[in-house]
Amino acid sequence: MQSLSCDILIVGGGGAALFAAIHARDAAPDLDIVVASKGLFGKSGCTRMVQGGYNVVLHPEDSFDKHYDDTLRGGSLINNQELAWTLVTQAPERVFEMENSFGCTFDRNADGTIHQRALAGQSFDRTIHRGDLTGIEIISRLSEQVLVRDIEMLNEVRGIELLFDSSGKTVVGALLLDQHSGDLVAVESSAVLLATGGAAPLYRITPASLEKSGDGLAMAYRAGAEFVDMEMMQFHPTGLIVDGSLLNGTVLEEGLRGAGGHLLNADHERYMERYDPEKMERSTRDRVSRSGMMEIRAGRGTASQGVYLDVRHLGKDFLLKSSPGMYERCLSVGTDMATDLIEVTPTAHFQMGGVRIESDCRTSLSGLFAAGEDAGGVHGANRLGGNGVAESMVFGAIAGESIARHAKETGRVAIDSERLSVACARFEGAGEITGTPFQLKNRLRALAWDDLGILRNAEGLARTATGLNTIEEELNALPMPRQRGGNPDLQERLDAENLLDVARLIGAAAILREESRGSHFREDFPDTDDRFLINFIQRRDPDGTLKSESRPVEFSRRALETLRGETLIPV
Amino acid sequence: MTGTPSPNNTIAGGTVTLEIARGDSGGGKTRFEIPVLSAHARVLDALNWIREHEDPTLGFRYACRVGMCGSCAIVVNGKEALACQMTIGEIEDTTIRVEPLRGLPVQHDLIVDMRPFFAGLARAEAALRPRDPGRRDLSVMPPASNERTTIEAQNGCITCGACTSAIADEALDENAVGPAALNRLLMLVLEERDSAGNARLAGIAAEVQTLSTDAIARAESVCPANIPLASTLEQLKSLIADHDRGG
Repeated sequence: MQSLSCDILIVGGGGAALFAAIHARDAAPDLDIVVASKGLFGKSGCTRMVQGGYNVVLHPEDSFDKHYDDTLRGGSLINNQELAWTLVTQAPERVFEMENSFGCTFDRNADGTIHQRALAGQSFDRTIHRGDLTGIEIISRLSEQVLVRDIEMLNEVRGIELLFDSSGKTVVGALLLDQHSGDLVAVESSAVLLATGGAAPLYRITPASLEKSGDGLAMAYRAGAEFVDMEMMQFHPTGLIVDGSLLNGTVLEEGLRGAGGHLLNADHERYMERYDPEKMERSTRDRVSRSGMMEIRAGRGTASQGVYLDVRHLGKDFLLKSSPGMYERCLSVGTDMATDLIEVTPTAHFQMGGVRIESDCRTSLSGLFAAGEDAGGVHGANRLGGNGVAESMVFGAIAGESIARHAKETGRVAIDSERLSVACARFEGAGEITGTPFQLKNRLRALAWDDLGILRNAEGLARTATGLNTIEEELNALPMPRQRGGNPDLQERLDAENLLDVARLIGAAAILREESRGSHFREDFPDTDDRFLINFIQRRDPDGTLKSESRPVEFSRRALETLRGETLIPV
Repeated sequence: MTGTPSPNNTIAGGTVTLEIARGDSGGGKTRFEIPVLSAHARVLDALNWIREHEDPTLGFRYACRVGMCGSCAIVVNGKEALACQMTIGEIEDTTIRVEPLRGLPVQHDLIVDMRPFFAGLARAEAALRPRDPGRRDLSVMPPASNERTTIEAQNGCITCGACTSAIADEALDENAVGPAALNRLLMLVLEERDSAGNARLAGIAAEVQTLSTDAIARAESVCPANIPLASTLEQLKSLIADHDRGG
């Protein structure tokens, strides 16, 4: 085992992690900062894959109030109102910083002013973007700012467990695993930031970067941190179907529907007529995804269990200009979107739930911070397109400053060696490499897709709970391999274990929410019910049981009555 | 993104042979028969099939699987490519030879250590040094201006390392920063928001003179983001010449 001592440990390598690293470095030039990224820094995670853009109030006729109300309505009113307000009000600061300090360039109008468009659920054109491949611009510029700062970057080193001080109450480091050497690395730090991304790859079909496996969520769960809104998982309506390829489920951006794209079932009916005749395809992601899944389950889907996205009427010139990246992507799988129907499926996209945080990214555990998809509460029951990358930038920056402040105040504290030994002990294996974890993970993903996904009911959730137990038993029965380094089989096993923890949290919250709200749809409780203007808070007790309790939503900035009604969708 | 040619539709349902250079595999299998499950299956799908069905230890790197992250650059039949973008059907040979990127230390099978590549970007200080970091509005930047069109033509690098691999045989100074860093520096020199300006040229003058036209053309030909690297080199040469003349 290796040991490392630093002031700040950031686990993650995407937008939130990098933004935090930059802000921590600039806030505290004397502190040692270590970033451990599961993939190559800036290349793993989903910030890079952002297409649609970043929601921000810049136009004089737009306002924080409008963006805020859209965000709360989009979240079906159960957002943490303080976090959502932070998102909206800090979003412009981060855009100024990205453009003026990091050199990002977002698309301009012909006169040189910033171009803004609307994604679904917005009452104003407030999404800045760079074509339909916005994330590459953001993460490239963030990565190079990290490179020229004194920040120690550990690539392809994953988080395993959080470590505590002798009191057992304060997080003072983490156990990591170097995926190449196989070395376990015990990092002692004043505090830890989790920014590893969510667990959308729990589901069989997902556009998320597949190395993501809810590592931060699972580490926080095992450490006893509080979670919020874990039943809320967003499915994007238009994942590209590519049978037999890892490309399957990758997202075709929302702008295609916003620009007037139609969704058709196998009988070529515009089925959104049945589900949201007013807004049709421009309805919010949760409704459009659910409608697509209902069509498929009703037998009106394509042979590949999908529906069609039809943008032919928008014309080749428009498509090439507005969505060149998507045009190219479809062409590469043999579909010319100007002349062909595109076969699409709902796809597990974004985890709204996560570790419960305060507005400064502190969690319920002292010394532990969370940002980005690891944190919950900002988006409530459904995230608006364009609010995701804004969250990562805004809360990444806040987390960096908070953790730097915390580290300066507390200094480094020794790790409790007994807990460290326990965390390391399970890796002393003598087993062979079997390949079984790949199968178990695939089974887990199929199980979650079928019963823990877009359409849920009590029976399916019970079936999931049993299925998870079976998979867990099989995972536990696998001997730990002798070879730790250069062993994808071991990584797959650890991924499956973490996804399983996240699946339990989702399942336990989903069974309690006996109503339908946002992305959570219960076939046995299809209506939204005011009694569920609550958030489910979950944590693991020291004895290993999962505890769930409900807390009423705090309408601290907006009263419930003012938020009723529908969000206008600009045409 | 590369303009992927239409795949050969007859290949789906058939098999291909993958020959994998596994320098460190300690005698691990290097030749695999792979079923091609889709006409659009990528080299990445073939590698993943091996991992799931034949050898779970096979080392290769990928993340986004849609050509955006640049993690999966490898050498396919002698040429750099992104494994997630190259369709098996577009490869004419029945045997596909797959190797790790050249000029970078191999860590495990097809995975190379990218740190020397990133070190080039860091050495070049290829990041904006802001002229006005406290500014609280956005610059007016007409997209049709000379400055913007020139910069935009060079934008879109995904730091995959393909260019570095393509010129691995060139006798370059050990402090060379590499084509990706040179390209970013060109963008920054032209960028009005950058405060370092022409001072960025001094450190790379020697590398720009040494890098041959052939080499940069080779790098350009494998760039998955289609960045005109030959033009990068030309523009840098001209800027350096102007600068030397005191222009």
